[in-house]
Amino acid sequence: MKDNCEHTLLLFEDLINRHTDLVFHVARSWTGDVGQAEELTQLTFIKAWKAFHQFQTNTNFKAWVLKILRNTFIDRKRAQKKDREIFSLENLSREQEPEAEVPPPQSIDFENREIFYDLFGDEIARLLKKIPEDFQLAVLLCDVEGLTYPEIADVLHLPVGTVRSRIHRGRAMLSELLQDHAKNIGYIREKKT
Amino acid sequence: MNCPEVISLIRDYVDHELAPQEMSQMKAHLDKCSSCTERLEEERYLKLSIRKWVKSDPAPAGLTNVIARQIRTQKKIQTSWLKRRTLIFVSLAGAFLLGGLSVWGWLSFSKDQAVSTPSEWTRELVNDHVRYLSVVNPAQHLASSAKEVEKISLSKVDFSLRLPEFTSEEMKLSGVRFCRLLDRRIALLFYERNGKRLSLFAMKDEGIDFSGMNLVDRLPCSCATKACSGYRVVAWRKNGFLYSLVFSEQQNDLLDLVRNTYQY
Repeated sequence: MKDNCEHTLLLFEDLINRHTDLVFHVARSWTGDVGQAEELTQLTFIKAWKAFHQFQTNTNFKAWVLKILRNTFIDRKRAQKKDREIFSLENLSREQEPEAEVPPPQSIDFENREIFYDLFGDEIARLLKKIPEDFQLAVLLCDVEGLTYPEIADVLHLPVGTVRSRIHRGRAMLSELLQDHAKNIGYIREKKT
Repeated sequence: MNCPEVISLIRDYVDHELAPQEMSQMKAHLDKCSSCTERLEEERYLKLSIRKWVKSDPAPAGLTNVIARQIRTQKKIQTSWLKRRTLIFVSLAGAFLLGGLSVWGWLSFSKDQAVSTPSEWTRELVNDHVRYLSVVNPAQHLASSAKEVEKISLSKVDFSLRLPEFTSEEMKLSGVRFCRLLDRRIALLFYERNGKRLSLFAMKDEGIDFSGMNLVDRLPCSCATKACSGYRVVAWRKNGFLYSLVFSEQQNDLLDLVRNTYQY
């Protein structure tokens, strides 16, 4: 019994090791403050530990722990009634935001696409920081963390359509920045129409 | 499906977010259309490169360890609670054989033994701090100043409570709860400072010594500090009271805050 409990704790500590950065990143994105993000991250994992017996092993831990983060964040904001004006719930409401037209994927005249991404891939992380934070977060959760659209919608408390739009627009913006960069260094040519 | 339809769904296709029927229709078109396949490759490369090069912002160093220690502390609380329950159950069973009085005596003896050393005492403080950290509104009574708490305490504790008034404006008092610790009646005050919670335990100064703790000098009162499970306890005696402030070890400037409060 004791060994079993210790084993669960070790398993959970491994999950903490692997997910602290993600939870902290999302918390910082919502609070805009490192100190508050740290505290939210701590509270999230303490709550996750208390509810760990409810976690179903065949489901996505990332999505589960991020939902706990979201609920903890909402609870804290509700408790701080004086900050109600500041807490717009912009990121956490089910309200539909206007879905702007997303440009379709462009065909780029690369000399060699594979080499370009190998050479300039590290620029992607820098350029991604230039797009609005809501879009960064949606792209990060989808492309880096591998969450599905419905899982992201659940975490961000947004309609699936809005999540889809943010991911697509985020990638389109990133692609455009990447192409500008490639053009500036003369790696790709302007495509003739 | 024609080319414009396929192009409009390429990002969903790359993300595997289409229904199986749409996926096979897309695949059928892509198999015979090099132009759309080119666009698909572009989107795939972009997605794969994001996955390869982008990472979550790293959490502050040591945060993972602090969380792990907090959870170990929580586990100890649960274990110790279970042990106490078991102890009480066994004691009660014995009461039927040995008589009520002897059992009560033994229980009170074991309770006194449970928290006798300074390290156990600081651990109890940290345990209580962590326990309420996960509660959004832990205060029984809302209060924004020490004077307010002193007034509330008149009907709650059987002694005249006196509290320190912290000079720093960053320390915001949110409320108080009256509870027991080490079998003593205490006032537990909750403060927020830069978005982080601090707990101040105030109790009558009765026989808890600072041995095993690091004594702090340059204060007009007896003060000691000790680290425990990622937290720091700063305890000091003043006006017949023992105050203990518990906070995250990362807020290492808080000793100065206590020091400044008493620089008359």
